[in-house]
Order: sequence, then C-alpha cells, then structure tokens
Amino acid sequence: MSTAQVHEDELHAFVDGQLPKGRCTAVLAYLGRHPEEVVRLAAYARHKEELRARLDEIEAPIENSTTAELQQALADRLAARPRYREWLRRAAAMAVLLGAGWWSNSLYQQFFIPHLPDVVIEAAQAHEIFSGDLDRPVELTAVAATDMAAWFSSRLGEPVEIPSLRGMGLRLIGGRLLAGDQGPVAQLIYEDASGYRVSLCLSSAPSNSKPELELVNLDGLTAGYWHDGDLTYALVAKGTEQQLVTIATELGADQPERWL
Amino acid sequence: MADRTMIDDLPLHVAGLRRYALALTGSRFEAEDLVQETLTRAIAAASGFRKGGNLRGWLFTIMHNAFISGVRARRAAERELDDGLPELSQAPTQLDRLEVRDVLAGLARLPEAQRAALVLIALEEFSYSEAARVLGVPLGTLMSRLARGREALRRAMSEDAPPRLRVIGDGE
Repeated sequence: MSTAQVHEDELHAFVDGQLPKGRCTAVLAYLGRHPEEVVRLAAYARHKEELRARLDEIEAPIENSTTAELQQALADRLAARPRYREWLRRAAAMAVLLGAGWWSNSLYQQFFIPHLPDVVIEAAQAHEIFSGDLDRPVELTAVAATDMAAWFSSRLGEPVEIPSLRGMGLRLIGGRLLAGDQGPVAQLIYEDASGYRVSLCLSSAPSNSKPELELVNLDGLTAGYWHDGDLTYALVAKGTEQQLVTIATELGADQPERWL
Repeated sequence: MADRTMIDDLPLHVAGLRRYALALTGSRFEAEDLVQETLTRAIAAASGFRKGGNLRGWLFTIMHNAFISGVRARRAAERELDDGLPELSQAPTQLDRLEVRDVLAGLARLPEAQRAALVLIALEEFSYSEAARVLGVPLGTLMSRLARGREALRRAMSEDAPPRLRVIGDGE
C-alpha cells in the first residue's frame, strides 16, 4: 500500500494503538492532508475514553457471594494441583487403613489408585460445585430428556439413556456435559421433594470398574461406581452408604462385593 | 491446567467480564447473572483449558457464547410472554434511560454485534485478532463492525445536541 492510500482499518488501528510500525508515517501524512479525518478520529478516541470511564464508574460489583464462590471454584479447578488429588490421597489412605490395617505409600499407589476411575473423582467434585447451590440452574433442563440423551450419546460416543428414579422419589432436574481428564463426562442431577440432591456421572473412558458396585468416601461425600455396557457410572451424594446402594441397585449396579 | 500467576489474574478478568456483561446487557443484575453463568461454564470446561492458553480470551469467549445462547434467548422468551408484541430492535435497558448524550446511552442503541466489537476493543483493549476469535467471526467482519459501530456512535453523539437548560422566568 502506498503512502497516499490509507485503509479505513488502519485509521482504527491508529486510534487503538494497533497500527503496524511501518504504517505510522503513512497514516500521519494522510491525516495531515485530511483535517476532517483528524476530527473524526479524535471523536473515536474521545468516545473510547468516555466509555471506559463510564463503565468503570458503574462496574462496582453487586455484593454477591455466589460470584465470589464461583470465582474461587474456577481458580481451584485451574490450579496446577487440583483439589481432587487431595481427595484421592485421603480416600486412598482410608482404603488402606480399613482394608489392611497398615500403611504403605507404595501399596496404595499400586493397588488403590488403579481401582478408582477418574470419573468418580470428577463426579464428586462436580457434585460439590454444582449441587450445593439450589438456585444454580442446570445447563440442560429435564424437559427435553430425549434431546439430552441424544446429545450425551453423541458426545460420549456410546448410547446413553437418561435413567428415571421417580420410583424412589427422585426427580431429574437436569444435566450438563463436563470436560473430564479422560474425555467428556455427562452429569445428571436428581432431587427429592426436600431438595436433597444426587448426581450421576457417566463416562465412556476406559476404566477398570466392574459390574459390582464399589463405594468410597470422598471428603464427606459418598460415591458409588460401577460399569455397565461401555459406560462407567459414578453416583455421588451426601448420604449414607445404604441409601447409595439402594439407588445404585435401582440404576442397575450389581450388589457390592465389599464396602470400602 | 494453568500456572499460578495466570490464576492470580483471575479477579482482574472477572472485573473485565463484568464490564463486558454490563455493556452487553445494560443491566447490573443481568450482568451479574451472566458473569455467574460464564464462571459456571468455565468450571465445567476447566480441564479442557490448555496449559499456557489465553485465560482472558477463553473466558470472554465463554461469556459471549453464554450471552448468545442463554441471556438473549431468555430475554426474547420473556418479551414474548410479556406482551406478545413484535420484538423491538433494542430492548429498553437501564442504559437507555441515561441522558442521550451519555456515551453509554449511545452504546446501548448500537446493534448488539457492533456493541460487542466496540467494547472488546475500546474497553478491554483486545487485539483485533483476539477479539475476532472471542466473537467467532473473521477479522474483516470484526473490523467492519468496529468501524460501523464507531461511526454510528459518533453520529448519535453529535446529532443529539446537549440538553439545553431552559431559562425559567426569563422575560417576566
């Protein structure tokens, strides 16, 4: 482009400080020949300043603890060492203590961690983040359960059915798709008349879960997991293990071999 | 996963998201709702965030998508429920009620696409290519929205003469 021709985009770039170095003289020369353009660009620059000042003035956040909590939850999730690693360690310690009565660092790494699929940890974490706040809307409402099943099936690459737990007094309130470490995880949230919530997470990532239900305690939450077809199921709630066994059995899990 | 210093900037990004939400919705309450929706979506997608990625761009992209799919759809539905009247090109907002010569009132009257482009560039100082990515449009589209938005704002601000003070009791 010659110095005589200056493109409209370059005039904006001049205002925004995004003009490539080599074009500055050309733009200045153009503005020297066109004083009316100087007036126009000055107005753009002035409006830019005014916008910033006005929005800064009214940006003052509404005091809202939900926003602060969500911000903290996001920071935790983005942190190099996610909280679920803590859970994993505690759960592992518990399993070893209960199972063998003695402690060995190498033992749990060899025996315990391979038994706990990622989806279980992710389900527990998602339950804590998304089920605590009763007002927090779900991304997909239960109204379109068939659409939800189709969407989850396409993302997980396996046919997914949305189970009904109405017989147990639990109503499906909705679901969302989460990005798990091993691939997409479908989360479904159920609620009873008193507002008690249970999450069910489904993952098609390979795991060594079995058709028999296994139970773990994760930081005050009870989680049960099992395998059915090509999917791993993880059920999470604040509740007794017996409650969880009842729900999981209703969902098709085999009776547990052992309780951790 | 992101590194520590990047996460330390999160409160700044959230303040930026709030400004952007305010410019998009024109209401502090809707803006706060949009910020929360954005953070919720970001939490759900956090493990998909690339190490060394652009956290701010990622968050603004999520907000833009949340706005398109959520807030706008909800507003349209509410308007339909409210009165069944044909949708106005611009919903009345808090910003509209400001004085006409106020730059925010001018901004609120711009078509949504131009407003989004203008705010990302003017307020958040995104680079042109970064803003185009956030909005999911080609660079040329971004530039034309920016140019049209700025020009419309300039005309609105110069045509609307500053309100004149009426001299009360003059000539009595």
